Amino acid sequence: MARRSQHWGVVMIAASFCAGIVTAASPLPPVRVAVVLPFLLVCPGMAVVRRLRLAEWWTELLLAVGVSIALDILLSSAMLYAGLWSPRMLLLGLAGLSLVGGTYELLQAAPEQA
Amino acid sequence: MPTEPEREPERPASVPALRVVTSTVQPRASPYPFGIPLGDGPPSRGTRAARATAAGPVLLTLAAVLAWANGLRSVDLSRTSDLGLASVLPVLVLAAPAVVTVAFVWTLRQRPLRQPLLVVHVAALLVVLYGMTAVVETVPGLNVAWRHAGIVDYIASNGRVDPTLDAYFNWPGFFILSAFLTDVAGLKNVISITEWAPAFFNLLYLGPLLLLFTRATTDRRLVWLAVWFFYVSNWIKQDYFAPQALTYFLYLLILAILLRWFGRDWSRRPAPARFLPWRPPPPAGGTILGSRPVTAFNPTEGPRHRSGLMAIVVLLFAAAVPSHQLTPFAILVAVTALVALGRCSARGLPVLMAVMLVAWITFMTSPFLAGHLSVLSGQVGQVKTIAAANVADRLQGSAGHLLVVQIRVATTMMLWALAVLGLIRRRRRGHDDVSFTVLALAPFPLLLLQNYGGELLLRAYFFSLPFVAFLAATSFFPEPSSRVRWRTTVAVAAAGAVLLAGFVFARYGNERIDYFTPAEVQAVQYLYRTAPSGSLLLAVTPDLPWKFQGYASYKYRTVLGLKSSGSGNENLLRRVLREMGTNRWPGAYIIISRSQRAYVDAFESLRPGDLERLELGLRRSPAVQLVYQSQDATIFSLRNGRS
Repeated sequence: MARRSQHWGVVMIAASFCAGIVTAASPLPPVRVAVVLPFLLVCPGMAVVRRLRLAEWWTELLLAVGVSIALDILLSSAMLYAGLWSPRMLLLGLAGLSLVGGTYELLQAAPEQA
Repeated sequence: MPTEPEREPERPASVPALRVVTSTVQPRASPYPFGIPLGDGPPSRGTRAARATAAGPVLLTLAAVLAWANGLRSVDLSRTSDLGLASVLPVLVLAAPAVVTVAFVWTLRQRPLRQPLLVVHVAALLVVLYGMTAVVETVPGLNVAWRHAGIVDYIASNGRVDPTLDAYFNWPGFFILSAFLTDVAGLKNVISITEWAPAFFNLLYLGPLLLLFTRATTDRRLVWLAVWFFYVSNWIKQDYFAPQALTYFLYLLILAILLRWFGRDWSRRPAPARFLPWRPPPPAGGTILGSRPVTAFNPTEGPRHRSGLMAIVVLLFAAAVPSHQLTPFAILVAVTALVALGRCSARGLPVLMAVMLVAWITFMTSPFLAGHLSVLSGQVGQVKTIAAANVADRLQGSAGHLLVVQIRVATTMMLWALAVLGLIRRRRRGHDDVSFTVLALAPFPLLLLQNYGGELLLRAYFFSLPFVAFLAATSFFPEPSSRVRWRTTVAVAAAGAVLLAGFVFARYGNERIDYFTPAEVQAVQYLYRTAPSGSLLLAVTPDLPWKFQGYASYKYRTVLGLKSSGSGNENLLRRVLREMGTNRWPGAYIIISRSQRAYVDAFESLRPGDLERLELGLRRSPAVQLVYQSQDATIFSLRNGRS
């Protein structure tokens, strides 16, 4: 369990950094699509769903996708209705959420391994 | 009789909930990366013969996909008839899904059941069934997808929504999400990625489907067959780039979570131990892709987890409410039915959902409701009108189109007949499928509310499909069994083949209308280059790749929409000219294209020859001039317009 936790923590942190870098560097669309879309589809939700410590990895992944989509919809809609439409800021915010979630995973995993 | 699930004993906070729940079943390290085969007997280990047996179906599927991809290269869409895509598909392409089905059924009868291989077959099926048009179409098809791309373009360009434009801007969640994704992905527009949307969304549905079906049975052959039936029966084509496709995922996931963790069903007779010779049976549920057994019939986690899961349900519903007009109602009806029949322990959830739904409609859609409230409320209970819009109006058109409609009806009836048979067979064996039966029927009362543009019956079928597919699959596997008899194998393959044959006609029966040519797209692009902002853009039918830009900059109308107040050939032309010449527009244009002709032919929405006479009349009229002509499209503009 500890290994799995650490694994997801690393994935979330790495994906967050990659999403941030890709957004700042603005490379060609195929690269951005390959990095940003999977990140937005999984990581924000995983930061939330990992707190539940579900038994099955595929259930966890499924709920992470669902929560990610829901968060993406709700937060982007909230920004738009509030007159603060800024896709890049939202992406960075979601990267921050994933970063926090990933870091928490690693911190939680360390005592379990010990 | 159903009873409350047993409460979990108190435990120290540091102990994960799952360990307590599974303590009655000794977890054992699984030799399979995708779970323990339940009811299949001890696995035969790594012999060459076993590996060859396992590889056979995969090679067959691989060959089918390659033949499919190769065969699609020779498809000429311009020869498509009113029978749809099937009329121009080579035999190899038509045979590919059938071969994949044979490979799937072959894998299904193997012992032990190899679920990773079933995943491969399902993935192949998704590609050959739902990726077909993405390969054969030169430009993305389906006019609605182009329109949706235009809404996304509007939001991305303006950073706001305009609720006065149309209903889409009152339920804009999906479009705002798409605008967000388009921007951060660096795409110019979303139309280029809409072709693969059906395959993507159907892949997305796989997870919730597995979660739902593993809730209802421990028999994984039944689970995968139900998944197969779902995919070969999903001919509704509501999985394109649209809010319905995304919110359907939320619908499935909400119901899956509620049934899995808050459900109250159980089988009166659990899986017999004689089918599990080498290990004791888990309580129920089993795992589908997991590594340890989890009971699906009792809450597997403690109150903290259940609170978290309920929060996720509310979050998912909150995302569905601003994203689609219909799906939140379907969720509400389904959840209410489950709670009312004691099949879901989340008794307060329907009230919360209703409050969220009413709040959105009241406060966020008032611009739309202000103009449409009388229309919407006037349809409530109008059974005759709704039935006419949903059924009678669809049973008309050319002979080819009528045959397609009959195939749709026949395959639907076959699936429902199998579901009833399965329900009876399972009931005789003491299984409780009340939740799935309720969910299969729950969407249909929505028909009493309004006709939803004549599409509500189709949407109700879509919402009920997972549950009907599962019940249909139970007609072949009413109970877990260690072996699949040849008789059952043949029956499954035959049913799959019939449903597949129906699918190709039912789903792609409108392909002659739905596909567009590059010439049509170029004509519309010419229109956007030359028509001044605020111009009237008129088409005979809405089947045109337009509205993908300038969504709010032009006034879009169709001749069919004008036709309602007139009749006769001359009157049709006169109505068109009057509409174009009201001088309210800085410019007025009418475009007639190949896809519109196909629409008129298939649905017989104009009398034979009307469209040709209209075009001839426009060519002769001194009021308009021909400004663009290509092999697939013609554009006229008003001569005395200010353009």
